[in-house]
Amino acid sequence: MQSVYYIVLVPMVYAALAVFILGTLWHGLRLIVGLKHALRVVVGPAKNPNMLRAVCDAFLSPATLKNHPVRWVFMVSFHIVLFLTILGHLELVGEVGVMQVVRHDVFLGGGILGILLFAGLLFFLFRRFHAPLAAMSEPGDYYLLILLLLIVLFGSQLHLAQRLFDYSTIGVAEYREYLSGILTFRPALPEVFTEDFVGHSFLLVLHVFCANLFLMLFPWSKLMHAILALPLARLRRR
Amino acid sequence: MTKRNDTHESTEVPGDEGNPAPERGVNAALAELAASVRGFGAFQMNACVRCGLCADTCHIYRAEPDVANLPAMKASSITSVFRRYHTFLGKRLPGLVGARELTAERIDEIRDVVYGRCTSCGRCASNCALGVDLRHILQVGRRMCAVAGRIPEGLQRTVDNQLETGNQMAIPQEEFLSTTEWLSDDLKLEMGDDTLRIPVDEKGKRILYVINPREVKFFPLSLMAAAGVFHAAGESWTLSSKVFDVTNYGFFAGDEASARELVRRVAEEAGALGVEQIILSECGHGYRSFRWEGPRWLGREYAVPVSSVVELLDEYIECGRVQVDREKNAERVTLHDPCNLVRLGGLSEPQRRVLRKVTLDFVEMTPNRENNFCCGGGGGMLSMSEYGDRRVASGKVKADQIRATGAKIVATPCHNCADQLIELSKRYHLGVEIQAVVELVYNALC
Ligand code: SF4
Ligand code: SF4
Repeated sequence: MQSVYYIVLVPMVYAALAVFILGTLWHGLRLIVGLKHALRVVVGPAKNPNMLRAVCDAFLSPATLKNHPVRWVFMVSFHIVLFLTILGHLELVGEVGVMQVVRHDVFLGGGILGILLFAGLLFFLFRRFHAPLAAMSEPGDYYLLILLLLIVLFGSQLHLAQRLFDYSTIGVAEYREYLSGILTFRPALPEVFTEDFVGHSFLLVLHVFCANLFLMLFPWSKLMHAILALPLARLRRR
Repeated sequence: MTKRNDTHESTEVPGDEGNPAPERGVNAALAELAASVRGFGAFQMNACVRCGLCADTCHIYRAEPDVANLPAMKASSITSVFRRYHTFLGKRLPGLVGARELTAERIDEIRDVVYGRCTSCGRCASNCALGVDLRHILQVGRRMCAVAGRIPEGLQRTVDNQLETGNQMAIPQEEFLSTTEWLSDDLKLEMGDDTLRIPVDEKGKRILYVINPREVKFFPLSLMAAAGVFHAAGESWTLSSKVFDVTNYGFFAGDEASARELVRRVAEEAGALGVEQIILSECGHGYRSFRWEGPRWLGREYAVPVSSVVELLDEYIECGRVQVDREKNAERVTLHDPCNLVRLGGLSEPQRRVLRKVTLDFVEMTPNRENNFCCGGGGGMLSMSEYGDRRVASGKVKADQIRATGAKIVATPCHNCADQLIELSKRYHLGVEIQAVVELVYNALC
């Protein structure tokens, strides 16, 4: 069991990061090469081809705001919560002074972010069972959402268990020891990660396992829209 | 004149000569797909998150909310094939990501979608939450069908007409000349000027005016009105009796070789006549294809500037070259924005400035300009009788827009749209008259 934990928490994390970074870079390179070709193919009147406006299109999607204001509020809120959740993980690597400008306990949001994300993902998932999205969705769309739901579920549990039910064996110090070890290529698993194979550490392994899968799928799935939104918006404003 | 796609079996791809026709078509379509998705095209194909937010941006979906009419679903008939041949997961786990093989049957499904359920109006693309250019993807589908020899018959016939006879309606040169002659005679009487005539094939004039052949066949008043306004402005202009067609059905068909040939002829005729400028008559796709796509197809800029006649009319009125009296157009007028001229052509204001000057009661329909709805007759729909019912059904959105304005006249700077709007007026009992912008200007001349 100890070796399974180790594989998930160390080599698999490196593999996932490698696939994520190299895959995204490879796409990025193709993007840069392809942009020149695309600018030749896509002809037409320039539509205020200003980079700032393209950034605004990509991050704020004014067309959606105009056509579907309620869904826009939901969509933007979801992405903000997602961004804050990713940001919150930085404090599990080490102290981030700027993030403590507004004093808070680690993890950011006191558990609210996870709950909001979970609710948002559930909505996205159930929406896919109804027309017209049910007919448009591919199996991969459901699996991706389920994978994200699991990541959020296990991650939230880790935090809430510690915060509300005093599961204090794995705390911020242990996460920092583990994650900074990974980032400095001196991987070390704190003892509490492997001393019992139930409860808190088991949830951690599940959380990391799902996150690894997510990172590995990222460059090959529609999750790439996170990277593509800006160049697409730029191209639309050529 | 040259003719392309003589038969559906004529498409050849290198190394493919021995295959039976359907496989040849599939291979040619796959080669076209591969060429179209080089670089950034692949990202367009990959970026849709299937959120469904583009659904009601499409007039066809609005009129018939069937998932088959949902823009992202239409595009997925092409992106699913793209995934099968060009993505990591699509090659290995096609079922997981909805990646599909291209077969002769699937080409026919794509054909039904790209020609029969989409007018290439681009409204979905400009409203996509992510900026995915669905119109571009659907155009790739048209190009795939074209190289596979699966252009719908009516559309193919029109392309062939253009290539063989020089114009989409196969109007013989003699008929063109006799029409301009009797229009000149009528105009002499109307304007009370015996010296007036419509100039044809005259060298060294400032402007070559390129028209929609429907003006010769069905809307001669529009050509007469343009001639009248040019006369009033003291313009130096000419028509060509050989190359007078601004339309480009190769563009609609996705047959870029034919499209290129058609723009080349106009550009060369302008050179042969030694004009300083090419003015395109009121034609949405003619403007889009000649003004914007043409230089890309030819691989070079034109030797002389190109404008739409609505820009010229705007200029005449702004600088006082023609005097107009808005009282002469007293009835309420609204404006239909042709997608290819406005959203895809970038020309939205000159026609508005003109209409405000020549009409007493001009009202906008909602939405308008870049966010207008297609009339349903775009994308070559009018030449494909098999999709006639869908075309008229999808025009319901436009009919409702028109009715809401309470207008008696719908002005539209596109003869293609005019055809569809005339039919919509009958089918939806709108009781409106459809006019070109130049007709209203002519009517308002002092
Ligand atoms: S709005 Fe854009 S991303 Fe969403 S389904 Fe339509 S094309 Fe895809
Ligand atoms: S291009 Fe126009 S007709 Fe085609 S799917 Fe988009 S909105 Fe509908």
